[in-house]
Amino acid sequence: MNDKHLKEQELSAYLSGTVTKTVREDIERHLKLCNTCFQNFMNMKEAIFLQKGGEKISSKMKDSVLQRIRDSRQSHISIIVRFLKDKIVVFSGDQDSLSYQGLKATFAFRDGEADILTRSKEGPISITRVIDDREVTITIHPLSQKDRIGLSLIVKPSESLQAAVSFNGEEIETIADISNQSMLSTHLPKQGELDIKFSKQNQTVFTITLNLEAGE
Amino acid sequence: MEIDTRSFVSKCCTGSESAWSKFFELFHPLIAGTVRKIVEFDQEDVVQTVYFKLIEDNYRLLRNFRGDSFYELLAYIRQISHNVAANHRRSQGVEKSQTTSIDDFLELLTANDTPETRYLQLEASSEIMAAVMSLDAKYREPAYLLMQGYKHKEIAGILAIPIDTASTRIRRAYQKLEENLKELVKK
Repeated sequence: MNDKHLKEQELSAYLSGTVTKTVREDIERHLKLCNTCFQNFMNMKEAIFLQKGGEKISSKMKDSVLQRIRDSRQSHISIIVRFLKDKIVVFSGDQDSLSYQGLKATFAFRDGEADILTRSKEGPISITRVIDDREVTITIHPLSQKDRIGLSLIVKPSESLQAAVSFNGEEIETIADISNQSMLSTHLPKQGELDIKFSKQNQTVFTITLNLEAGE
Repeated sequence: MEIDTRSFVSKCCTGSESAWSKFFELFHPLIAGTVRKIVEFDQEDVVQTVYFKLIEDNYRLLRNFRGDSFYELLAYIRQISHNVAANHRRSQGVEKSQTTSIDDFLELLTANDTPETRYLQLEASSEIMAAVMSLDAKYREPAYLLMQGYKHKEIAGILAIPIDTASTRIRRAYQKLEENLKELVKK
């Protein structure tokens, strides 16, 4: 343990008292010798102390921060898609409540709610949101490779937009004209962060972030 | 803390107002407290800047959080708050005047814990940090926290020890450090 720095996860477990005696002794030995880890450890202790301070945010500042959040939504939308064992849960920043909770199975069926709840055949699910006066539909398609998904994008009214797609910060694909091609050719893992930048004549029009989370 | 940390951060990254209301409740004391340790003026503005930093570029900083536990998130938010406040302090050109000489540091260790004392985080030189690290844990921790701008009472709170014990340990830390630091100066 002395050869490398302690992970925050280890410090966190140490502070919460959930480590074994041996691990605790190893951590304490390391903290005596390592300046960096000692400072990280103390930072965590300070953070815990300060967090308990109880100071409340002023309503003026709260309003100001929330307004900034609302403003940022005009050209950006974030969506979380969580793939759980028996359902897919979708959160969207512009709609505080859950939109799709209750969809059953790996993928839900689209042709009627009764089917959704009683059948577990795989089928695509679509998420439609309005952003920058456009209706954007993201459809997630199941694939034969169970740990991957396909993705298609439709923007209405139809217009010539370029879509640059990055996955976990790396650019993976660019669709030159979304009105001609809606399906991404890349098959995506179910876990990761997908950023899609829609642009027109090299100007960003709006962006979408899709957080894909593979849960239990 | 009974929250699903990853899920909570994800919801904040969608701009969910209910998640942000919870965020204010959980993290505002930490953000405000961290900022107060580093900047003397414009504290409200700096706290607001921390929030704006968290929101900007599609919540980039929050999206970069890789931890799982609440403590990790606390440390992460504290570090962001610290960086924003330190940048502000630098932009005000006060960094140099805050740098602690060895004598200043020793003086700090013996200073009375009065409200008049300016308790701001100090930029410690590597020599001071090395000297602090040379102390036993029970002296090292209070000495380090003093460098971070905490009063004796707060140090007692962080270390979960009585205030008298904290003050005693700080005095002992001073005695041990004085010798070590003076030796370093001679070299």
